[in-house]
Amino acid sequence: MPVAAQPRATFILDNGAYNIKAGFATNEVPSIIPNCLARSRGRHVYIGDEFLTQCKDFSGVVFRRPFEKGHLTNWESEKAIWDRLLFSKEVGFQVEPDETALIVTEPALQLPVCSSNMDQIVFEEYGFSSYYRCTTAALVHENETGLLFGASGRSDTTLIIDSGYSATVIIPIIENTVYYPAVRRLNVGGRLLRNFLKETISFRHYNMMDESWIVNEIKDQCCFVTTTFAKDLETCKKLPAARNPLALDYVLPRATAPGIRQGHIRDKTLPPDPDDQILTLGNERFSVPELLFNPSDIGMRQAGLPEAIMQSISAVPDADVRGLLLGNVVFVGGNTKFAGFRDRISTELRALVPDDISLRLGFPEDPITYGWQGGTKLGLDKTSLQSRQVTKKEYQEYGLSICMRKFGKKTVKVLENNV
Amino acid sequence: MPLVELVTGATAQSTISGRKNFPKREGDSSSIQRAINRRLADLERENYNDSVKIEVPKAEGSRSSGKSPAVRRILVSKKTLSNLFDDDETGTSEFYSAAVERSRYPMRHLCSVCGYWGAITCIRCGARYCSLACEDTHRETRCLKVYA
Repeated sequence: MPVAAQPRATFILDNGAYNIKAGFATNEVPSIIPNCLARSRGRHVYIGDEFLTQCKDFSGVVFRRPFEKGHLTNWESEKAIWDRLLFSKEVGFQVEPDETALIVTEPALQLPVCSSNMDQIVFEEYGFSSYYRCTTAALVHENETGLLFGASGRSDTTLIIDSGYSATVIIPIIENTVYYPAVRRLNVGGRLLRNFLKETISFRHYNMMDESWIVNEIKDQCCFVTTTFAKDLETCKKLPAARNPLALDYVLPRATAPGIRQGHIRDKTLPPDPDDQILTLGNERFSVPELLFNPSDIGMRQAGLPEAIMQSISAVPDADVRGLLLGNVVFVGGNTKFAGFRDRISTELRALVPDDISLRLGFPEDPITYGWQGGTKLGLDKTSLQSRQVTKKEYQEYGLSICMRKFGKKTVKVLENNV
Repeated sequence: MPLVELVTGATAQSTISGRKNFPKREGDSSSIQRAINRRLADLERENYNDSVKIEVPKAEGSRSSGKSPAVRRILVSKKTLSNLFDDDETGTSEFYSAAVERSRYPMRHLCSVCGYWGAITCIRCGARYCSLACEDTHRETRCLKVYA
């Protein structure tokens, strides 16, 4: 038995507040597992993926998440989810931690104690042979981002906007290191959008305050970002629902004889089914994602995403670096999947950026798994990973301090010298 | 000369009389702001019913857990985010200093009932609406419920 076993596998775990994207570095695509415990109306508790595969009735489901406002605070539930993810036969990874190198993501502005707790769990509870903890943005940065701009290769300097469940975070990476003084957090995320849609539907149509999952599906299927907010608002006001091209009928899910019929958009060419319960959506379709661009619509005292990006950029002291960042902008996270997001952010950002700066915006094909894909690139690059990770032996010798030193917030020396 | 005096005299008169008759907002600005903040906090909730407690199911044949005292302490810890914020002042201030700041542009107002432009402000509670129909709905439902 060798003294220090070389890890036979590298496992990448993009630990999101909504979904975990996980898989071995050699896998093509990650498995996507809800990062939550879900309790159905029948009081059955599902862990992670069990919810999607076993739960039949999504009505009245309540959730418990290990993440609270973007910090991983509850390890009792996270461990249950990770145990199922790593070891269960159904998910299929059956990881052997003492022969595996682990790459895990954490939120960019997480409290240090939450990060330290993860370090302890990884080494003392699971016993992984080595471990690297970083932000999802750092993994996004590992991809060949040039491909997003019709070029090739990658840049040392990227501006990553991660718009996920908890919030939208703007992370500039300069010379391959996260530049923390310019990281900015906009408190509009998938959770806020879903709750705002829930509140609006419950006030105007049916009470759906207990139906988080169903409203989330409605948001994913029906909402879009408009580039002509004022015009669309007029259309929805002036035209009745029957003649309004923007209005949609959504058929709510219901129990039928064979099983639960999923919620879907009604096909107006077919005659309506009298048993269906219809929810008509008008300006909610675009007012909800509009919060990403105008949080003040609900009274939040934060600027919208384009202005927030400029706030982050202006916190970078070097003008050349600012130009480099704006030439390599990448959008990841579920909220970037809204139809019309691309056009809207391009137009608004171009208006705020000086004319002489070349603005290049990159939208990966799958903004949810792009971070994990970057993780596989890093996982397969043994030399690079070995220089960044902490091994079990190092942890046993030096303890938490080595994790804090290697994964902690380092400043970028280039900017320090020039300032 | 006398023309100017006449004009200023008339304006002063109407302003004073206008101010006397104008009804005051029933909620003061701080309670209205508190209501706005409470609503924003509600929008950040995971479940509508906040007191829902979901127990972690005990898996059969689960791997032994709590191998070290440090891990056991982490696993049983019931600390919420606000507890953790209280424990770590520097971490908290770093977290809040990274928040996006206010916009340089004026905010726009939407009708709280139907979502159209909200040009009219409710005299009693400060909410916005767009038309008489929405005013009726507002008076019946949300007006003054905010800080009841």
